Amino acid sequence: MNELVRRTVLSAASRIFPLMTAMVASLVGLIAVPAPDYSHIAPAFTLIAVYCWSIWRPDLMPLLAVFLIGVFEDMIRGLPLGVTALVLLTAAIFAQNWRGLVLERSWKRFLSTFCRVVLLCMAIEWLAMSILIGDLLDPTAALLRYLLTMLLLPVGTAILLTIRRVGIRDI
Amino acid sequence: MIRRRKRQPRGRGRQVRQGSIVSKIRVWWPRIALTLMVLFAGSLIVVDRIESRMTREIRSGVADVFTPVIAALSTPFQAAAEWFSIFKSNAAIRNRNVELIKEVEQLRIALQELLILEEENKRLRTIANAGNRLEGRHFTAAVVADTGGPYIRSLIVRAGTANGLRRGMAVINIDGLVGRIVETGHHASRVLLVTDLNSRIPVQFAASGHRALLSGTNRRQMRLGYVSSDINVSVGSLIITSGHGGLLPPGIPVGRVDSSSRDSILVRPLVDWNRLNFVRIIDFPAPGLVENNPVEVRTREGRNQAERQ
Repeated sequence: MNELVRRTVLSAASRIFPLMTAMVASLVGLIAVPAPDYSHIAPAFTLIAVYCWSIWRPDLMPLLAVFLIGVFEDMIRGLPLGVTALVLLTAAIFAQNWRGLVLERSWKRFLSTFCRVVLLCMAIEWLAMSILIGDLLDPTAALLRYLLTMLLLPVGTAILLTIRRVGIRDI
Repeated sequence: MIRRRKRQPRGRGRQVRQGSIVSKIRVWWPRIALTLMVLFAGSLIVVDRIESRMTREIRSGVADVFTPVIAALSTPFQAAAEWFSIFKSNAAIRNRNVELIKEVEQLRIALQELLILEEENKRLRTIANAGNRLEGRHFTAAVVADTGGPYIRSLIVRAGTANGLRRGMAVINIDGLVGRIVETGHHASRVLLVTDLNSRIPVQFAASGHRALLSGTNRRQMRLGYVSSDINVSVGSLIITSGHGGLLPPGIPVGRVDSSSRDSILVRPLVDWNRLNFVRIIDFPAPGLVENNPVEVRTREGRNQAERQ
């Protein structure tokens, strides 16, 4: 009986692992790193988490979870509610649609798909914010953010792969 | 003879008659769900534009809950920054020490002059019935998170309504004006920086007293608007808050004119954003303003009375 309870609890915990990692990723993106202008170009860690889980385990990263993570990030970052939700939903949809191609091919394919998805997401975010503010915003910070996100993708993926191997191998 | 019915599998694997409504919904469900969520995200954006009290309170609540987590996550980075600062060369530290000793001596002399000037200023302000420049209570708060990314310039500080903070309060540091409080939780508040695109501050030239409006641009410089065409703006002029509107105290240094042309006057803030670990928040009693929340006013008045006693 105890074993059954233990397994059930572990299984439930493993199922919310992707959601938790994405939430932690959004909090990590807010850390006040003592580097000049870091906060303006802080990488989109949440986007990395959502993309990776949508490709590896779409069953554990449903669209509703993606939406909730987006709303959470908007709340904590002080952005208009719904903007990040829209961006993350776009990433999840593309990742799930290209999942077959990405899984079949190499790491190069994984990276090139991510390149395109993040570029599209950043463009949507920039456009949405420009419309909401009512002015064409300077895209430089967004482009630098994009480059930093691309640079940190291998590190983010390595961490998430370890979590996947350790945390949710049984389900 | 007992005939057993073949058990149908439960859940997703369950057989559904081809062409039935259920099967059609099942096929279309991912697309329907996606459309609904995109529509919901869009309507959230619209609802949030209204700036209702409810969304503000939810935001503040979320910031309240997660501020300790962000603070804990930031600890290793701050410790690493301190660790690296220890490894500066010995010679550099010695030179810096000599410079600082000189600076302290100069500042002591300046302080004596300032004390005399402060007394004189107080006396003159009493005669002119102008009140004190930075009257009201001051709070110190630690900066926990640097939020917003490329589009919004804001900070989360670890102090909230429990510490007496409320919306609109001015936030300063030793260099000058940082911004003002726009959201307050119980133990955390959001500060909108002066460089944010939505920031508008009534200011004046410290030397001439000419008024203007300082707007954030989301960049390193701010734009000075509504400047009288007959004044000569020189690069390096100090810009201070004018106190008009009653929300911010007058006389807080904000920035210096960085460039001046026919089209625009750009101002560089005095605050060094990369060294912003602690801020001071001023509870400025705005004269002539009617408060929105009478309960809040009564609570604050009661607290002030208790403090006086």
